[in-house]
Amino acid sequence: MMSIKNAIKQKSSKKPRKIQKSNKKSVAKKSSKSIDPITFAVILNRFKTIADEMTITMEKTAWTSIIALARDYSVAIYDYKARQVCMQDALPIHTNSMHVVLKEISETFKDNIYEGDVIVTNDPYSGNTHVGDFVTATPVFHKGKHMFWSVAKGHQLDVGAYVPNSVAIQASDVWQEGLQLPPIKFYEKGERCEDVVRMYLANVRWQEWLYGDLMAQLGSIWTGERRLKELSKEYGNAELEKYMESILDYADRRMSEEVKSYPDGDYHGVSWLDSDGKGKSNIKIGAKVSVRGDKIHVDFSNSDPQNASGNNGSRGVMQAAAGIPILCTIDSTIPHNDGVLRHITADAPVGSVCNAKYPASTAAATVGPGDTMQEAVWKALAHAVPDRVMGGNGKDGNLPMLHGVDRRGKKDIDFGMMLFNAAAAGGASATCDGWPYFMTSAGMGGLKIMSVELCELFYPFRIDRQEIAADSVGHGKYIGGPGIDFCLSPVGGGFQCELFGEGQSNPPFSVMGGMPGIGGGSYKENLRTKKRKYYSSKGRFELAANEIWVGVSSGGGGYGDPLEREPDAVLESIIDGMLTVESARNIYGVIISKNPMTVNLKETKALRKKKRKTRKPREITSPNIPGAATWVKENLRAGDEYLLDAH
Amino acid sequence: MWHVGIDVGGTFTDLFAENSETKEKRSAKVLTTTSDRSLGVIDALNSAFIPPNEINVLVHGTTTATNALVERKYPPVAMITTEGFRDVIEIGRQRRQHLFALRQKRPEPIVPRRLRFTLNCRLSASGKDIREFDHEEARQIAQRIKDLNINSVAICLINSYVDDQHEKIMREVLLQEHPECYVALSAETVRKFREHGRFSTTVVRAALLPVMSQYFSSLSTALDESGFRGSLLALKSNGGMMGVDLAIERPEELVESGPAGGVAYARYLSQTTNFPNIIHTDMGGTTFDASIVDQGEGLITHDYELEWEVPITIPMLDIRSVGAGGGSIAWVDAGGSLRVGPQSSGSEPGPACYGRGGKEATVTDANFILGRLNPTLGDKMRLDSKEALLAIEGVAKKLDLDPLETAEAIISITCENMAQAIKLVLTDRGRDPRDFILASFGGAGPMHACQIARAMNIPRIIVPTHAGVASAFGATAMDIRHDLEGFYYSPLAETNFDHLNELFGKLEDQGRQLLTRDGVNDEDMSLQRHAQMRYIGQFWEVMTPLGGQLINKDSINDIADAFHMEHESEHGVKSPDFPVEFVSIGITAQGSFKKSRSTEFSEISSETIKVGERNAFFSGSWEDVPIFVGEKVSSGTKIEGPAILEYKHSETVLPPQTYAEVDQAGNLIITLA
Repeated sequence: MMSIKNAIKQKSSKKPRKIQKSNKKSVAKKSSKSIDPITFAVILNRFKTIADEMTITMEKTAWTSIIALARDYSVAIYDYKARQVCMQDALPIHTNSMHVVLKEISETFKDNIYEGDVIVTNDPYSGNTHVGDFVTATPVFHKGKHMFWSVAKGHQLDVGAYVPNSVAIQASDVWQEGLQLPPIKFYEKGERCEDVVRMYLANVRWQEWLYGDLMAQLGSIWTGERRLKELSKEYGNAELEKYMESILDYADRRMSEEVKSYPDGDYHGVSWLDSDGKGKSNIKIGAKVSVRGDKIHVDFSNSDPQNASGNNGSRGVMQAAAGIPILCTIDSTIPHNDGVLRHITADAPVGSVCNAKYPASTAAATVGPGDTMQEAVWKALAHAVPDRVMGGNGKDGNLPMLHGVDRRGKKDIDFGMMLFNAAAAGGASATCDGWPYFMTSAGMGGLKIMSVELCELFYPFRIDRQEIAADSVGHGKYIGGPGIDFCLSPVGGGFQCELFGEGQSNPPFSVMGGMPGIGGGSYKENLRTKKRKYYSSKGRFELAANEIWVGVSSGGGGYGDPLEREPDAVLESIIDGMLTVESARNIYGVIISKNPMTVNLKETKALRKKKRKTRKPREITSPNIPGAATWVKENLRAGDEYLLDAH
Repeated sequence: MWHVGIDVGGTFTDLFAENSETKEKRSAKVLTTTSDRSLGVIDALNSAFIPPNEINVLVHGTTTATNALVERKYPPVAMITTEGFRDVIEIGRQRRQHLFALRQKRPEPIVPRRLRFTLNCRLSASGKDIREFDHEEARQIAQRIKDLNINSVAICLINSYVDDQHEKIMREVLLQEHPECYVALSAETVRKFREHGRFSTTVVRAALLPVMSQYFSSLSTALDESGFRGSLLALKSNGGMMGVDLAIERPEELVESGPAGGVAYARYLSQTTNFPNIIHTDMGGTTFDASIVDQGEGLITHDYELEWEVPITIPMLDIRSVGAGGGSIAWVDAGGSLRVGPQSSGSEPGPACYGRGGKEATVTDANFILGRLNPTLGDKMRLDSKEALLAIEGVAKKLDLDPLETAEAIISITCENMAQAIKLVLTDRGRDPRDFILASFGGAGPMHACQIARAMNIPRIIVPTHAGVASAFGATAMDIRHDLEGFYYSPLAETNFDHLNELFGKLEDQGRQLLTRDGVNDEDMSLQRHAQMRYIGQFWEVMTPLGGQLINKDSINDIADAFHMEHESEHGVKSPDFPVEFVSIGITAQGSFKKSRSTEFSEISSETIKVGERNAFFSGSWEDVPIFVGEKVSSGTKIEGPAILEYKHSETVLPPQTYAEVDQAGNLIITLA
């Protein structure tokens, strides 16, 4: 074996040195701060594992479906300056804005932050996303020094609004949307502030469940606290801070390279909210994305004034919504920490639909307004980096909050639940078809639906249909994910439904010559009279025992020209009952011969050539006008009603 | 007579055998014959010179089922489901794997949409007929499936976990029209609620029925011809085994058949040493597996996913895998950070030092240039030092480091990745690493075990004698085991005891029947009851053991206590004031199996046979490191690191500041200083 040793000794000009974690004058000469690459990788990895552990604690011990199944929560680690150090791959709309609320928390309590504190807030005017999101933060101290924040944010099933819905989209102001909690302490120096917690619980519905969720959330941040303390102890405060700084710099360097690959310029995109929730339709949101070197600024000035409802953006949401599409265009292995976030700034006039002015309600900020801001940014990006964008995602139409009395058992029980099973799909990208059940861009497909059998066992309803809606997709070279055709019947008596969605009269957009999704919609039908009441994406109504609710959600937006889709993929769709032979011809220019079904390549080629010559030029994004969806118009029969924002 | 364990893996087929009279032990490693894997079994027997007619028991683990599924290589399968739910296995529960990565393809469903047929009949959650079974419709579907020449069908109806009558009638109709057809019913495959998991498991069974039936029949023929007359058993994903007759009917239980053998070895260690709590780890060429053996039993999960959104919800050992192995490639990312894996050089071209055209630096190359690896891999091939060095230098230049430092960094980062994977299993299952000893298996495992343990703060490691053929050894240490499940949903306070006992009774009868078919005598059977329970209002259940006896109103408090305890051990919290409920029930039926294993006392001798010395690099300096032949180191021997123990199929590296002692069974117990 001497040969290897000698070979190496001869080749290596340097003398081997000891590598020690504490040895500061070591190895990576690239960095002036003497960062050892092994320790660097170890600490980077540790932060991720800590965030993973916090996530597991939260999900497995939560009590409501919204957290345990729909995973509408996020955890993250921040440094004492409220800079994001590590986020879990959870809800993007949360994790890309938590630094905003954390800064407010720090400023509120300044020097009165102690070991063992738990500070909570749900206040959108303190930098939170919306009133339904409950932030819990605990400072992490080691040897008397404040090192980190361990933070979790979870969407509560209820916040004590005037309606049993934590997304009270029709609220007129902050006092209607629910209990407002500016940054306050639930625990101080390890002692629970019993009176404060009691007051909180007295103001919400389904208290046992919410208390259970609160415990899960605290368990999660305390897990984070414990692990971060161990980490501080292992490396010492100074060393750990040095490496943390280098982790932020590392992400910064990689992000810088990414943004520099964007061509400099100003790019524009416009999108629309369906309505304010009170009868006013098509509210505009415009984004200007300015790329200069390694910085991106998103300006939402070109947007309508705020709504007189809860369908407004908050500052936190505006910040997150500007950043999420950009984060999707970069290498997904770059850790999403402050080093990345510092490259993206966003602004919107106070009092606009993107950044409401107190005391306007922002109850639905994360979903409708946030998703629509994201859309405007995506549309702008399609002009800047076309091969890195995606077709539009479905929004939160057809996700009703259901509540009432479960009369099936020996005794009646109040129930409340948010049903995600009829959710819309995601858009296509430059190499892949979209996914079903994307739900919202706020979640980027991070949420899970509930089992049909579990729903039927736990709740007083039956799901009669939950299937792919074949005609719902945005066509293209790559097609959007399919929407869902869904039907619900009450069991043992009726209950209330609250729709608080978006994206049905303004469908998921397409990019690079593709076609938009259908938008979709919903109606309830009286089984005896067969009469239907169609609802816009928002509305409150009672579903009675002899009625069914049918929702057809939108497929995602398509990417690229349908005439470029692989003819075999078109044939597969036909065989699977997802596409008709006529649509194959009309939309994709593919001619199918029957018995057995095959693609007639020659005729297909000819037809595609002819179509290219005769049609209008393809648009980079579509639609670019408000109210472009067609599903309701096509399905409304004589005698059916259409209710805009019923309440 | 010989008791033989054979594990047919992706690259190698491993064998371990023990002679029940002479107590002689043999092992072998041959290349897997991918065209017909049963040939590898015969090869392995030949290579260990074991005459097939002298084998009384052959236990067999195989990746055939997993490969067929992952590559979607099985005869076409049809699915018959409830009208309105045709797409359950395609749309799944959602959740994209990586939120911010746009270019993710969805996995192909096991049954394409065109072959998913629907029936109009429908049961409610309380088992009531909302729409009745339509025989004519069923007959037409059966006819259509026959016309399409499809010979395997999964019948998966909504709410069939409450009542399976519709699924059974559909099967009758189907078999009348198409008698040669394989049929899998969802209520028989896994009788529990949550349709996505149940349907997905059932289509997996239907896809595998023809594949595994063919596989076992060709294996049986080959063994028959060779003169084998003993019993043939298969390794199951739950850590037990079953007879081949049953394996043909329940092929979905074979998906983690290979790794289960390794866990069985860990379980064997936990029962034969003073270490009841063991973290089982296995490092091969491309992946690293980790699982937990707690108080002598492997932890079971019900949440296994074959691929993203393709769950198999039968009880299986909770084995987690990460992409880290000897072949993992080291690279420097755009931010200048050194990374290792998950890309792997695979077996072709393999690490640079194999000299087969691999140019990228792998973990194996790093070990090699540090002198930690036998330069002929135990006479298997001659490693190429020039290629290894070139590859490592490529990475070193980008980091502005010296090649040796780089090699050490590559190994440290790999070990750190593996340690984090173990940490996640422990956390997910609420276990504290300090209560465990780390057991290291696999060709590449024991080389890194000390460093992994150090990164985890686990002070002790056990490297078992046959670490290199762990699954094959484990196969010879198993019992027969069946896990059966049933549906019972009720608050604990409102339990109908007669009904519950009756349901358990039925499962137990079924369990005894299965054990009888596997050839287990009544007196060797043991049955344990358990239930999936939760706090009322919660969404995730915790498996709670209920013991073996009848349940009555006096047991209520004990059951609640058992649940609170399990909840705390799994999730770290409990809420004794909250009401509790049953969601489903199950039993484990085990048949203890005649094992020929001697208690493995070998002679105690203080003599240590050093066979040579090698220069190896540790923490910045070269050291002269003694080499021992692992198999020849006798019980009671004490070895201080740095040292290297070379075994026939693996190698153990003891870095400086480690102390090892060989126990009476030949296992190496390492203590970190």
